[in-house]
Amino acid sequence: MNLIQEISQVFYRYKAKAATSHYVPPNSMVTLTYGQLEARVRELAQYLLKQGMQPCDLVMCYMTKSVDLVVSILAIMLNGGICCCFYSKQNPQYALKLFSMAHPRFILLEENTLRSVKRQTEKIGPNHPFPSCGKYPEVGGTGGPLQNQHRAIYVWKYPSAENDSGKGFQQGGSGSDKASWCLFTSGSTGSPKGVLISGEDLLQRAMNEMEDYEITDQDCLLSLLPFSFDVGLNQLLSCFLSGAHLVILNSWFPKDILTAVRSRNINGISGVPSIWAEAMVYPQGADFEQNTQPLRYLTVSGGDLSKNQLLQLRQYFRNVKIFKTYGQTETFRSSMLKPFDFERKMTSVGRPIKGTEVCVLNEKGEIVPPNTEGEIVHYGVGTMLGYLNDLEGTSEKLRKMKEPGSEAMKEGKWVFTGDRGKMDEEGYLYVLGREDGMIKSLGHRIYPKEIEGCILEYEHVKNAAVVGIHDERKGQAIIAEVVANGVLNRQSLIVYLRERLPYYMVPGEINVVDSLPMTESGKIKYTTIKEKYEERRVLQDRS
Amino acid sequence: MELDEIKKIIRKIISDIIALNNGPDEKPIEFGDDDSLIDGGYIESLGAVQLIEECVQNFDILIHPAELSLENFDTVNRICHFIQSRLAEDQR
Repeated sequence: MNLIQEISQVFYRYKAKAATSHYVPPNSMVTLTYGQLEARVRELAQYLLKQGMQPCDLVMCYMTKSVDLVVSILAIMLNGGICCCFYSKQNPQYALKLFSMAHPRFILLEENTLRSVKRQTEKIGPNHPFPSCGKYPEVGGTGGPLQNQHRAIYVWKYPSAENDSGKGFQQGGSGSDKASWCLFTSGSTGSPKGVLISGEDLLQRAMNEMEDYEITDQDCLLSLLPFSFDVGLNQLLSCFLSGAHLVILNSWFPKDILTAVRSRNINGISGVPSIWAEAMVYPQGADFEQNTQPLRYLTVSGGDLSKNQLLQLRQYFRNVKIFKTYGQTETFRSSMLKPFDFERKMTSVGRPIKGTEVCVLNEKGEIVPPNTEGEIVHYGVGTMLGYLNDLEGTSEKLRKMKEPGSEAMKEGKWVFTGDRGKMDEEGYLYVLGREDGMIKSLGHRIYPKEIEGCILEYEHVKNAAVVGIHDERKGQAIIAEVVANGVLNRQSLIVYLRERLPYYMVPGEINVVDSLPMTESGKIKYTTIKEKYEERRVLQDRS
Repeated sequence: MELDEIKKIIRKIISDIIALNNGPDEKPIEFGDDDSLIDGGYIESLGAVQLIEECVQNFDILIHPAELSLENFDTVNRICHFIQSRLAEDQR
């Protein structure tokens, strides 16, 4: 059975049970039962078909995380489309860039995002007229998320390029007609990449998660992460496949999270390191353990915490199972550290998960002996189909392994992650960093090239280098070194970047320097820059 | 401080944060006093941090981690009431 058939069955079985809620602390909540959710999904799916949607059409959602977004996602999947959500708070200029890259058939918007995209297109000029939008439901449906369950969803038929019926994109690799999801991730070459995932793989991922986190129809899970992020998406799917209840909270304030746990009986939270780093700043009252009692598990995904922080986290959530997961958008999840291993192996990212093989290779492409550093490669569940419109990038990332570990894997596609790592004798994986300087900040994976490219477009800049340095709260903090071309006003540069990049990519610190350290072949010595700031940080920590 | 006065300052802070994210514009993005700012997607988490820092500076108050929540910071009206009650407490 495929993913959508499985979900339909759950809808049928759990008709009267709560499926998803939008929670706004302390006590407003809108809930849809599985029956109500199904009705809305089918209505929107019908509406999209009426507008001309066909299977394999790419449909993007530019919406705040809400019950309406859940309805939109499921309707797109029900129609056999390829769904692509992206971060709702991304600025409109970045949104338009993604639209023009992906050429979706439709874009689903809400009032806020519709307004900001409209304004942005007006700014560009009369050559980019904003087309008219359909609206679902066609009558009524206004008001905020809590005043009205049926908030309007705007359906924008994206102007198609010549001979492009919305399906004209190449999807990289064979079997690409199976794609049912597209996730945008920061690209190493400077522009974002669309990672295509099959419905079959989404189902497998979700089944694995249900098994590992032991999710049942009695559970209530807290959704803090965006659905444009693989971990947030998988939480949504595994929740619905189990018949559990997904509570959406659009706040990372520790108080709001703890209030949700207590008052909504939350059993599981998928989180990124910065959420937990923030949470531990919150004072534990006398009734803390009682208040967090319903919580059975939490996850540290999309990055890692320092050993000290992990020890603290263990203390802070004393009776909660902690799972650590490791992966990247192209592999979803390569390994997992399970609760029973936490004390013993907390600095590792655990062992390969069910249905995957993970190896560490040297430069010649050979598997290295235990405890030897190399590049981490991934095979099996979680592997993307390819990059949207980028066959070259796909063949660089997905390759055959020179010396396959087993006969069955000879023909298989391995993801060359670009992550440095090592594996110990027991098969526990340790992640040591990136080959290409990728930065992880606030749970986002960011390539310096993308930020540098934007800085270099600013007229008063001659050269720029971006590095990420360790930061207790964000995972990594972004620092830019900039060589000025004439007179450079730092503040105007920051404003310029804020207009063009999502907020999490804007460097927290920009320093104007006379020159950047270079290798003899003229490449920027990132390690030198990084070391300088890491040293400064250590000194600051001491004082 | 009068509520209207607080509101004026708060609205200015929020407009600046939104403008910073969307680019300067002749036609600023409008938001109502009861519009959900964080939950509704007007400002993101970094903007929320900035909003709180600005409140601390502008009104010279301390904000405890236990007071950081959507309940106190999600709409203009909620922020104003929170600030007003904090200012009143400080006077006592």
